[in-house]
Amino acid sequence: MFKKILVACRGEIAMRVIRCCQEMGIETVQAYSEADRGSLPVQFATENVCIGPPAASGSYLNIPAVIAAAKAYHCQAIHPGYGFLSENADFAEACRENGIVMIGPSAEVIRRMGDKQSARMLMKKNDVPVVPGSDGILKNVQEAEQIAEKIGYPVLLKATAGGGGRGMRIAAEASELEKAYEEAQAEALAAFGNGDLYLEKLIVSPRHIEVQILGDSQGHLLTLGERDCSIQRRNQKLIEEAPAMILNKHQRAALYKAAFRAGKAVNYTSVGTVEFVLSPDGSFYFIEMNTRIQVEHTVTEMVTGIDLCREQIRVAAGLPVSFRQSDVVIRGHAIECRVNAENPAKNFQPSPGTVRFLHFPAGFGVRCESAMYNGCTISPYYDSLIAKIIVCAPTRLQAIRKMRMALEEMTVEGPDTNINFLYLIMFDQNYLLGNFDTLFLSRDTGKLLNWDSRSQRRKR
Amino acid sequence: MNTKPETNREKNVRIPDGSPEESRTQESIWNQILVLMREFDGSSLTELSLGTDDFSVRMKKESRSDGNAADFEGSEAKTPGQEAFRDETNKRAEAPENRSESAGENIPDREDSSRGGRHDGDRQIEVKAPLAGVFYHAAKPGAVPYIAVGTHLNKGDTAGLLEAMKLMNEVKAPASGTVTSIQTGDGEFAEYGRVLFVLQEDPEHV
Repeated sequence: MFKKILVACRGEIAMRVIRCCQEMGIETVQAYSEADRGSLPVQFATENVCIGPPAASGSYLNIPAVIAAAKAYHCQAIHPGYGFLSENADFAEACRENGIVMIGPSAEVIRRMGDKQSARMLMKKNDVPVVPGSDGILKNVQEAEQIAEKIGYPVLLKATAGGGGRGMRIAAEASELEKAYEEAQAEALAAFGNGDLYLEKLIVSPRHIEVQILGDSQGHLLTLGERDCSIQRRNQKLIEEAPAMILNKHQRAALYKAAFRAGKAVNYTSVGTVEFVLSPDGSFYFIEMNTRIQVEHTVTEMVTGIDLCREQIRVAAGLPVSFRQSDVVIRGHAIECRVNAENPAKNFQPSPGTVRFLHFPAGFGVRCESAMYNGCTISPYYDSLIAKIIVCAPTRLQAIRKMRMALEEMTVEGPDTNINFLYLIMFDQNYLLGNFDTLFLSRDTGKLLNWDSRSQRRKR
Repeated sequence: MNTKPETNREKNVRIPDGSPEESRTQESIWNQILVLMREFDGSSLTELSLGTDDFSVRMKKESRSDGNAADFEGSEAKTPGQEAFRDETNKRAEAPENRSESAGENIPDREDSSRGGRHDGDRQIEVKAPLAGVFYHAAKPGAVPYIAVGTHLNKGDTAGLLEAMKLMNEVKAPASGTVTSIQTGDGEFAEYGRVLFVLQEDPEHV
């Protein structure tokens, strides 16, 4: 087992890692940027080292600085958390070259899964359903028409060199395809200098369902249940739950099998997540594999009783997973709400600043993950996630009631937060019924904000 | 509660000139100006403009790198987190280079800090690691070290190397001066912001 680990992440996940290490008797060295000098992880870790300026490029993303710090402090391993360097194959390689274990899968697996097209192809080869579409670049509009006929409309034409939603066009039916093709190609050429397109089936009203996997270096691979992460705002998850109540037991079994095949295809080690999109007709398709521990790993922990951070560190140290697939039982229902320092009424504008007063909820089945403390500073340099509130209860409705109570109790004075917004979602009819897809928030945010401001007015 | 120091803010004030007699008016204005000069000198303002139809006066101070601003920070510092946040806020308003986190220190690399004039140029500059890495005193093992106590450096001279993952970065002298102490040993790891050595700046020739 490692004697010392460098914690190369920040905020709530750094606290998660440090607490886990302390339980396991592993010393921690918190690598931090200037902006995080006063942060909780810096104070809790065994040692700490300043690796750069506030801007992440000079600190948390600075591979030489992180490696130099790990070596100087004699760390056998580095925990990259999520974000930053956690899915950077070059970083994984640099760790290996310097004789340091990166807590995560190998550089090769990271690289393989980081290339979306190649990940798609690999999944196809391994009988994992992928979003139907073209196998590579479209030669011409005729090929697009052929493929679209086969897979069914609506379809999405996407620029291979694209990003940020540019060079993309939807064709709802055959008559729209040629125009969509030309427009997408023109836009791609203008924006990226590359007019190559590929085609994908457009999944309407999708739900985001993902499966937690865990693999060790002895060839064991386990699936640890699924999560429903459909409540998203601008592709950022806001509320996650386990299990996904939308699935029937056949779908669930099929999902687990597909996730298992996906993991086996790359001999996956460490914790990881296989992400799928679920269509209203019940079919699901692989989107991508996340080769890191995720923000929402907590809801899986609550319903399985498994400490994922601990397993991740054990596996990285060469130990086998400490339980068998048959030991994995899903019990109860867990929900996580991401508390962000932002103002929903001002278009979710981030709200950094000093936390003048802080009170976390507690009680049976309530869990909080955060690096905040009274008087701490939320800096503007990083994302706005400041806390995770997680609840677990025997049924989904009980979990929702518990979350309402927890969000009522949660108090943050100073920066604006989305706590009220989350609270109102817990009363939203569609949310309660489970009628939501990934567009839920884009549709209902206005309604929720109205609800919030009306209720504030009545208070006065 | 203390307010932010007012720097570089102009105030335009009209003086009512009620007296009809020119000499009395002039004397009264002159006295007022004298009072104003004393007040201005003792305040944290760096510029003041005022005038009437007949005249105007403008006062301006040399901007300072320490003094009021640092004192203000020292009295306000409560938690390290607050300190860091406020430093960051100030940092964004000013030049962002290598700013120290503790109150009251000179900021060695601000270009507009005054030299000569009100201050003597005899400043101790703490040269800090601009990145995290291993500090080397010499170009390679066994070579002559770049610096020792007493070495004189010209601005821009290489004073040492910072190595991270086999990448060498040169640490350059921020100003001309003499090395008075070396705080990080040869082969020692320097975290970002650690003092590497202290340079006594050469006095300015005005």
